[in-house]
Order: sequence, then structure tokens, then C-alpha cells
Amino acid sequence: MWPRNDVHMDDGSMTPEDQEPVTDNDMEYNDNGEESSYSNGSSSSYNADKLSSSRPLQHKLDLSASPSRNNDLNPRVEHLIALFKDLSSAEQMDAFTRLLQESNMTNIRQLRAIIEPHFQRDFLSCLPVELGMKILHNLTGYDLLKVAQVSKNWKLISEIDKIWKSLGVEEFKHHPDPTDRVTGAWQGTAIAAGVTIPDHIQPCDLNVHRFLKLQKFGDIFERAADKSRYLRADKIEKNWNANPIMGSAVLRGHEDHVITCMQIHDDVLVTGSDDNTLKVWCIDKGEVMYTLVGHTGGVWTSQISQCGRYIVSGSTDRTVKVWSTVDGSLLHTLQGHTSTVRCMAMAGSILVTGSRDTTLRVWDVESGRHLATLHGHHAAVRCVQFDGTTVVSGGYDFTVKIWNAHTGRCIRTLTGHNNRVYSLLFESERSIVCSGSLDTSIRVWDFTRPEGQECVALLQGHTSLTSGMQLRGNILVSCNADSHVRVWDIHEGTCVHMLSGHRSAITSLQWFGRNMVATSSDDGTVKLWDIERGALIRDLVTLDSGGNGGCIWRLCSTSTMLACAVGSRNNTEETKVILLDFDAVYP
Amino acid sequence: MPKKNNTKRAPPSVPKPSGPPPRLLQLTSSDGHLLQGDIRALLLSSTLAATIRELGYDKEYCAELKPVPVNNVVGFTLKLLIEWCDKHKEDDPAIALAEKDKKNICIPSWDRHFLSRLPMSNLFDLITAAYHLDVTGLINYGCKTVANSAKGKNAEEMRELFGIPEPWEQPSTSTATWDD
Repeated sequence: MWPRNDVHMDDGSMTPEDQEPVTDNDMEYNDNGEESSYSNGSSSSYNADKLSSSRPLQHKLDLSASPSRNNDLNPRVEHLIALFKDLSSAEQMDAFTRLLQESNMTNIRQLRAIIEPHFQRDFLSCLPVELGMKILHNLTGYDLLKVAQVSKNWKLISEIDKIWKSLGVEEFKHHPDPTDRVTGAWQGTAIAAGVTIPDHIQPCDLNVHRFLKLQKFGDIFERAADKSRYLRADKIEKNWNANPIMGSAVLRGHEDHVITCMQIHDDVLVTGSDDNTLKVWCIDKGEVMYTLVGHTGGVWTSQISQCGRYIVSGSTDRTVKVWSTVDGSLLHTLQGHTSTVRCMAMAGSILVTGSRDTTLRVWDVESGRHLATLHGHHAAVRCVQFDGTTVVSGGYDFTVKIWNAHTGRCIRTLTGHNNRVYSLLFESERSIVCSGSLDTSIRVWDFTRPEGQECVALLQGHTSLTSGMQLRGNILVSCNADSHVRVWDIHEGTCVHMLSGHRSAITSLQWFGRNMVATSSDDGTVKLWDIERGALIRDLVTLDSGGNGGCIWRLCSTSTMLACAVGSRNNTEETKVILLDFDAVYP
Repeated sequence: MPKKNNTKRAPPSVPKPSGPPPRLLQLTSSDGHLLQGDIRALLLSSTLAATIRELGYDKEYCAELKPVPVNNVVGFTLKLLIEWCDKHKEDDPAIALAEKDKKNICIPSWDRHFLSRLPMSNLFDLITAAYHLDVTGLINYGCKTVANSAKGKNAEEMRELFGIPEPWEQPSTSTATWDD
């Protein structure tokens, strides 16, 4: 009992601040289970760390000194421990130093394994919560998911919503809420004789998946909503890139005719056809809502207004018709064009239509009033873009024209193409126009430059007409009748990637997500590409009749769904729309 | 996503004063160590700055400077903090404030070297001290340094790096509660 009193007297000589760490050390030494709570819960000073390391040393010496690991049978070790406890802290350090000098390397390595954890720190448990959050604030969503797996305490801190909210907008993608897509046409699948969807889920697994889809907002969403949003966005991207396709549908309509145009707005899909009608479909329910009848000629162009209330269609009957999406009723018939209405663009409720009659007309679709006629092209107007003020049009006269929509005046004529202009892009913030032509080239224009110097890049490499383009920043993606997709840098004027794989003309292109592009082709396939790596991700749809007339005329998508219009010109493939679902629930 | 480029640190607007020697203030750490630092450097700590100004020690004519107690930082850590502040005493304080909520700040090379040579335990003590004394720039770089060491690691590697017990050694042993 006397030696214990000595130890107690030594403790008494310390300052009150130092006394508590020593108590922690005692607890730690007596019960190994407490070590975890020590490292998790307490924050100790540098000096206390040195003190705390002495106990495990002593503990390990006991173990290593006794081959049988039974301390009671080794009175010499017990004697040594008793002597050690009598020493002051400084004397203990001196004894340690000399004992280490007497130890072999094997024992020293074992000591290191015991000591080292005491110099590591669980930052989320030791630091104030604000600092833990500040550290996590620097991590990506992917790293935060790993943090949540480390320990319960780390999980709690890593799920603080403020941390997830501070991730870049890019990572959350702001998808609409989870969808149903189990009724109507979704009850079956698009897999049928003649249609191959590689990677489609097996029918026996489909029912399980449909059941799981009903739980749209899971446990994580209730606990940490923004983490759940991140996980869903990540899952959706994987659904596009690699996961089995978990749902598909066939919308049948426009039998034996060509689907000439297709648009999506929220949950509404509109298809126009040379059967003189348009069909309005509800995507989630997989059914047709209305058939818009009234045109006396084939429909060749259509638009859905930004507000989603109007559908506008242009036809070979020379008229433009305005329909209501609420009930499918015809609101206005806009007359004035003297030939086929071939293209259109909308901004707000103002519509610009281009026609084979060489003119463009400006309309107000709410009132049905004709506002202006733009004269100047010498041949059919083939494509048009509109930002609400400025109209950009391309035509069969090889020119691109810039107009003021309010005054009807032609501001600029861009010349340089040697053949018909088939596709246009207009980015008004930068006054950039991209035009694709049958002369095989794509030209990039800046119409704020002096007249005659507007062409800032000439992109060459394609060997036929460019059917579609999309631009983000300085990256332009183009698809062409030559069967290739090209990725360009418009600032450098160079081709970054050429994507080969289609076997005939590409009909449509859609860029979504960060680097994913989907293309449809006359060869009867829909392909998904990674334009950053310049590689094919996978085939999404393949028609057996591809190469024998089966083709995919149009393609469009939302962030969670892809629609492609399928058919043929020789009746080898029935006309239909195939839908693929890439949605996911909130976990 | 291209990384945001932070503006390079502006050089001091006034030439370095060559005349007057730095005025030194002594600090007493929680474990009784007496340390001294240039008052201009110590003003980077909002907490110390308030004390210094309240006592009038920032005035040139104030000749008698008594030691200021720092009750929640031990001497070893306080010495490191003073070293950091001394290096950054010429910095524009607006830079540290601007970087406070940024995600992708760049750590200057001196700071990267200074912080990375510290054992993890000392780094955490230093960050905590910077938190208590409200040294914004040091908090920014310290937290970023810890985050950089955690980036790209899986849960197992993080446990090893930060000395966290395996799940079965932790209280509430059910791992299912957090392995999403």
C-alpha cells in the first residue's frame, strides 16, 4: 500500500490541468476497450500525448517479456513493474530510453505499433464541429460518401446538409422528381421481334425493380436530403453509362408514316408526322393524350413553347397551327406563307417561322397576330433560331441572315458557304452563330465583327451535310450524314474527336449530362458516346432491320429518359416511338 | 470542371519599414511557457488583436508590455502559431476573409511545406488553436491540408490515416447503420 501512496503524492504535485489527462491515461491502461473512446472523444495536449504513450509501453513490455504471457508466473516482471510505478515521470522517461536501447528491433517495431495510434487524431471527433465541417467542405461528393463509412460519428457530421449544398451545382444536376413509368406502354417493354436493347434488364427482374420504384423518397432523403439528391444523380448517370436499362416502352402511332419532328417538354412528348397529324403523349403514363387533327398536309416542323402551354406546328399545307397542351384544342391557324412551312423557333410567345416561300414570318401565338415578314433570302429557308429579339436564318441560297425581329430588317448577311445551309446554332450572349452546310463545312460566325470578317472558324472534316449541332462553351458537337460525330474546339478551330461507329447518316444528336451524347441514325441504331474521351459508351437501341430500311428518324431526351422515333421508308419496320427509362429514386 | 484560379497574393502596398525594430509581446501558454511574438504578427488573431487593442499595446508610445495569458493553447502549439503569424504578418487580411468560404483555395508553397511537415496530431492542435484564437488564414489552410490528405481514400484508408478504430471495435457496433 505504501507504493500507491507515493504515486498519489506525485499526482498531487501536478497542476489541476495536468491531472485530468493522467486520469484518462489510467483509465486507458486499465481497460483496453476504453482506448477507442479516448481517441474518439477526448482532445489532449501535446505533452499529454507523451505521457499517454508511456502506459502502452509498459503494457507491451509485460507481454513481450513473458513468453507464456502469464504475468503471474513471472515474478521478475512483476517486480520490474512495481519498481517502475515508484519512479517519477522524468525517471520513467529515463528508464524508457535506456530500456529501448536494450531492446531488439522486433520489440521496438511492436512498440511502434502501440504508440503510433496515439499520434493520430480523429479530426471529426476531436475538433469543434465547425472545423470538422470546414474540412469536409473541401471534399467532393464521392469523398463524402467514403467519409460516411468510416464511423458513426463521421457519418453524422458528413450528412450535415450545408456540406452537401455547398457542392458545385454540377454535381446535383437538379433532376425533376422521380417518375412512375410503370403504367400504359411501360407495362410491356420495347424488346420485341426486330428490336434489340442491349443491357436491358431481364423480364423476371423487372417486377422487383418496379416494386422498388414505388419508394420514391427513402431513408437517406429523410435524414440528409441533399446527400440523397447527390446519390440519385450519381445513380442516374450510372444508369445511362453502365447499369442495365430498367424500363422501356413502345408508343404506337402514325402507322405507315414518317415521324418528322419530335419534342419533349416536362412530361409531354409531341410527335409530328407526314400523316398530317401530331400526337401528344404523356411520358410517365405511357399513353397518348390527344391527336391533333386539322392540317391538310404533312407536318414538317413543330415546337412546344417554353411555358409548355402551346404546341405549334408547320405544314406543307402552308399554315401554322397553334394548339393547347391542356386539352389538345386548336387555338389559332396562322396563314400567310405561300409554301411549305419548313422550320420554326420560339421565344416566349413570339414565334418565327421559315418557309420554302423564301420568307420568314413573326407571329404572336397567344393572339394569333402576324407581326412581321422578313424578306431577303433568295431560296427556301431551311433553319431558324430566335432569342426573342434577333432572328438567325439559314437557307438554300447558301447564306445565313441576321434579322431584327421587331423591325423586320436584315442586319447582316453571312456569306461563305458553297451549298445549302441545313443546320444552325445561335448563342446570343456571345453573338455566336454556327452553321452546317451541304458543302460539308461548319462555319462559326461572330456577327458583331466588321462586315466581311464575321467568320471566326471554318471547321472541315465532315464529308456530307451536318444534320445537328450542340454547343457548350467552346466545345461544339456535330452529327453528319457521313455517319460520323465530330467534337470541335471552336476557339482553336480544330477537331478534337471523331466518333465512328454508325454505318449511315446520323439523323439526330442530343447532348446531356456532362459529357454524354446520344445519336440516332439511318442504320437503325441509337448510340451513346463519351465526348470527353471520344469513345462509344454503348448501343442503346438496335433494329434488326437496320441496313434493310429500318431507321431511327429522331431522338430527344430528358435527363432521365430517351425517346427515339423508329420507322422505315419501305415498310420493313413499323412506325413507333421507343422510350428508355434511366430514372432512379431518392435513396 | 476547371479549378478556380485565386488571384496571386498582392505584394505589400508599403515598403518594409527598416527603421523601428519589431515590438515584441510576451504570451503565456496554458502550460506556463513564456513566448514572444511581433505585435504586428499577433494582430492576425482576432482574439489577441482585441486584447492588444484594449490594453493599448498597439500604440507606439506604450512602453510597458505585460505578458498576455493564452489559456487554451499549450506552448508547443502556440510557438507554431506564432511562427505562422510571423510569416504572414504582411498579408492583406482581406485575402484570408475572401478565402474563408471558398472550396478550392490554393495553399501557398511555404504554408504547404509548413503544414505538411507537422505530424497529424500537431496539425490538429494547431488548427484548434487557430480556431480558439480566430486566425482565419491558418484555419483555411489547415482545414484544406487535412481535406487534401483525405481525398481519394476509401473508408479503410481514412481509418488508418486518422487513427479511428475498426467498426467492430467502435461503440454501437452495428455497421449496417452507416454503410449506405
